[in-house]
Amino acid sequence: MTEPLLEVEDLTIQYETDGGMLTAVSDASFTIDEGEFFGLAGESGSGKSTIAKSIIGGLDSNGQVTSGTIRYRGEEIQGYDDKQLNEAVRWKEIAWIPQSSMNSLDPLQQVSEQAIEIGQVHTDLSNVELRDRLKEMFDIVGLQESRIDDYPHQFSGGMQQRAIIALALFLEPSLIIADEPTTALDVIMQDQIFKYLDEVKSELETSLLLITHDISVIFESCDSVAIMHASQVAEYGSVAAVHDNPRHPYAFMFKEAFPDVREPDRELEVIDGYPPELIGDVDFCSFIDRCPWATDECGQRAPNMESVDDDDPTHVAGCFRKDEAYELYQSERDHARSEGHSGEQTTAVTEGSD
Amino acid sequence: MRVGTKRMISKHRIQSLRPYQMVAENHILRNFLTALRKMLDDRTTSFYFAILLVIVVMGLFGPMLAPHDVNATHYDDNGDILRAEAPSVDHPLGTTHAGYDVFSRILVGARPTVLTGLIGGGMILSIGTAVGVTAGYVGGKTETVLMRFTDFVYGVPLIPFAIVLITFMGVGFLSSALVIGLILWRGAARVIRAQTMQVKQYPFVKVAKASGASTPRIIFKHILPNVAPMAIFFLAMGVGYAIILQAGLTFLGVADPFVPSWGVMIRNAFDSGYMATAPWWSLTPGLLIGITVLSTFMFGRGYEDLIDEDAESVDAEAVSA
Amino acid sequence: MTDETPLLEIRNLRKYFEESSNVLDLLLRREPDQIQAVDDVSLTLNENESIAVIGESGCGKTTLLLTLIGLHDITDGEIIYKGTPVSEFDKADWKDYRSNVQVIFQDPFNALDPKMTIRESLEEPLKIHGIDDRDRRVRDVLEHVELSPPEKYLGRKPVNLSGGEKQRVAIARALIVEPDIILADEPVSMLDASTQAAVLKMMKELIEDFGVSMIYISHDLSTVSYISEHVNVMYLGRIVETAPTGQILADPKHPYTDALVSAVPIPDPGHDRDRTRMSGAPRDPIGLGDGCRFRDRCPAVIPPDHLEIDQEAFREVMEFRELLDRDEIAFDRVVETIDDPDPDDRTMARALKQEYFRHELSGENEATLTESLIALANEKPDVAARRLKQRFESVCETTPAYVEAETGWNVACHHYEESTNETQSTPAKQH
Repeated sequence: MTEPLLEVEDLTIQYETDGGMLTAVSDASFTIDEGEFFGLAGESGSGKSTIAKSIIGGLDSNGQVTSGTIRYRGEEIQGYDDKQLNEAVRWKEIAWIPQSSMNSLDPLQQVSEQAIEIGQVHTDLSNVELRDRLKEMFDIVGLQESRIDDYPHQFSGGMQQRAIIALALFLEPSLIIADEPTTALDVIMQDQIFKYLDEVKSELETSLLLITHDISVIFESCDSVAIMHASQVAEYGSVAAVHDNPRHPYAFMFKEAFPDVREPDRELEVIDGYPPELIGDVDFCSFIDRCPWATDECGQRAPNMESVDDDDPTHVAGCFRKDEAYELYQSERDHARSEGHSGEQTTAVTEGSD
Repeated sequence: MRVGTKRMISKHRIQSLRPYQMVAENHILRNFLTALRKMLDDRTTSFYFAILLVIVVMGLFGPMLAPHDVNATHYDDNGDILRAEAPSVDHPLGTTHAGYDVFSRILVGARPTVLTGLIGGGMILSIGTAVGVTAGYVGGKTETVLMRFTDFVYGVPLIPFAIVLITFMGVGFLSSALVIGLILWRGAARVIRAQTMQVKQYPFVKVAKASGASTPRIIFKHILPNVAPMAIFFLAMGVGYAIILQAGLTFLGVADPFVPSWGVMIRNAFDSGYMATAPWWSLTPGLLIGITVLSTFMFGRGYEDLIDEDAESVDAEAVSA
Repeated sequence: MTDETPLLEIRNLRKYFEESSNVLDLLLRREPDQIQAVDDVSLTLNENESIAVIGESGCGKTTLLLTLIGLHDITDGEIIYKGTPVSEFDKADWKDYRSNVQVIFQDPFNALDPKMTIRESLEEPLKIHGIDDRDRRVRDVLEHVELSPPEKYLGRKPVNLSGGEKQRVAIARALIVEPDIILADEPVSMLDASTQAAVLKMMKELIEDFGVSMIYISHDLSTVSYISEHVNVMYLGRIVETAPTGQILADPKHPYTDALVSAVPIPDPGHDRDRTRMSGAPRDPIGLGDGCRFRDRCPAVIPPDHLEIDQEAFREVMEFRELLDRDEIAFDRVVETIDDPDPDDRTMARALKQEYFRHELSGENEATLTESLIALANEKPDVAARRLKQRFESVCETTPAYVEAETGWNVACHHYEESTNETQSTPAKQH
């Protein structure tokens, strides 16, 4: 096997605040191979966007990588400054699709002009070659080639988002980082965008780091997934392994919180509470306060990411009770369900007497 | 993550605010106090605020503190008038060419200066806010009429208009302050209208409307508190401009020369021809005007701290949501 | 269901806006274009019922909601609340209506006045409607939305709450006046999944406990199924399909509903779902004229009987005719694709075809198209439009009737017009 494209190892990122060092990412590790679509899932505040920003050097000024490494094709890039990043990775190697397409295209420039500007900085290609490349990308994302000379306002919202993807793609980067690329869009538009990303995957062998809170999108479109909770990676593995055999309580509760149109009557899981704000080093499981199965041990040290016993060798989970939690959860739920059915009458009565 | 930090800090702030909240049940008053307190958290702002307080105290008590009668001519031991005498122990800021004590005149002159600022600034604030909020919230024809009128006022050249109007109203210190207020509200009206239109779009205003809140209720309970930071900024700016303009008008001669405001002092010094030989006479009021105006502007700038006080960074939260 | 008067009835509601006109328009006496945000919508909400209106952004669902709460005037049609039309409301009726119809908006971050404490926000509707015992009510309602103990929240400002907590307060504010109807506009779409589930569950319980009826507006079918028994699908101002939620999810009849349902992501890597076949976005709701609103994007648009044509090719013709109708053919762009600086009509026609048609036509169809494109290149768009219409006019260009395809299942699609008795295969599902 070739070396992985992106390796994040024991990454810790902290923000300096009035209250102390706020830990946004704690000891996170994952790798993305060439041509792999990788999903990073979690609630707001889980640190998933912070990781993405750190890869392209876009952390807020009060944030810094305090330990761990980010390696791109074996090269450590976490300490790079803007200039080094520009030379080494931005656009040519790693492209970025931001969430809000409306703000990321210059309204006063044609899309082709913006592409040429980027192309001239990062490549030696001529303008004609750059235009040809952009046309190719427009075709892949389902826009008419002749529209490369349009101004952003001539596109609808979904088309703008596609134009951004085309711009991100046109230097044929090896890795695309997409931060909630479809969150603001309707389902049909979202599906259109992923249809084109699928195409990109099959035609260009590009890797994708998809950051989203919507795990259904990841399960559909990605090869592997890491689920994060309050700075820590809870579980990591192929989507099939994480879906079929989730081990970390947060992973399976998070998964069960999502509605599925195929089962409109399924009870949705509710995770009580909110992710904590973490000041200083996180030497405990950050899910402890919300976890129904937490033990004393969970508060004493942070669990290691350990291999889960199933078909997927990369499937790891950071939970002391990873061997039993899911089974406990399932039996509790079955129990509750049977209780709920027989006991509906009684609950109604108690509520009435309140 | 940035949001998280913010939330933590503001929690902390709320804790320390408890006593205020108990005292001020009225939410406009409470918001005002909260805002002021927040502004004063900033050292620069509180420094200039302190200067402003000193000047206001001068305006209130100046005449009582003045060691001499402002219109008393002082003589030396020989019985000669102390003409444009340099500062001494008896007259810490020297005397004028008529032998008046400059220090006393400065203290007494603080009051008309402060009054001008308050009248001018107050008018700019009240007319500007009233026009801006009404135009912005009511919209339609009302807005068109009000805003075209504002545009018209924009076209009025201030100094010539003031001179004409003061001639009609009679030369006087009050009339000059009034004229300033009658014109300078235009900028405030425009900006506050824009702010109002923005606040009006928020769901919480729609919800209030849908649940039957009257227009005055919405304006007083929702719109005003939310445009208040901008209004405070215009009040501060207005006070500063009013003082500068009044000094200018006085210098041009369209103000009452017998009310010893700081502007009048500079003019008298200029008229007497002692401008250069007795710098203490003209420089002190000039510096004081400068300091006052600078302080109001700098204090007004503190409103920037208010902008994200309650309105957390919605974008940031939405992005990470 | 029953003979009782429904709680809320919307009959043929229209809400048009005028596109902002400038002085020049006034001088030239130009009629400003009408934005047909809500066009002939009828709905019935019974007591203790929860119905949903779903559709993409821009379909008019939010305008419908704002019209229902009286923030927009009605262009045409009627809203009837407990038997009384809104148009006949006097002041007291309005006050009553405003306390009985409450609204929850999508964006929790701006739903509460940032300058007010939670207590003040919750007390406001009570003060407006002169309801006493405010302190107890505020505490009660906070307990109901699971924000307890209430003391912890009363003195806080919205900035100190999380998104989920804010949306709970917004729900509490809607419930505190004990309304009959709650209108909810995507109340959970901006929340995290775990919070979303909690808020959805709570809302469901509350509408049961409080006996409230609800109109739930959303673009997200997967959450709708938890809240609403009945779904109305809206496209460009019109309701195209109404049916019980479970049925519509399992077997959508209208081609648009089908597209909407099949685009919902399934949280299961083992499930192999086809990506949507739809392209583009709905057009602007301006000058829509007659006909089915979905015809230019519809994968099942109906060709005339005599025509032999591939379905996809026909859809392209339909889309092109729509563009032609709206004068949106991008000639400038097409010219740029031609090397010849001064192309003749034939070259231009060929370029137009290349730009707008991916599927091959044949025989008479091809001839008609080429002829029309040449006419178009010759700057005779009327001729082109007429020629195309003669050959390709579809039944979808007449407004489809809203028919009951099955009991309690209404569809506005020509595929179902005659099929109420004779069962026709569902054409929308050709994949």
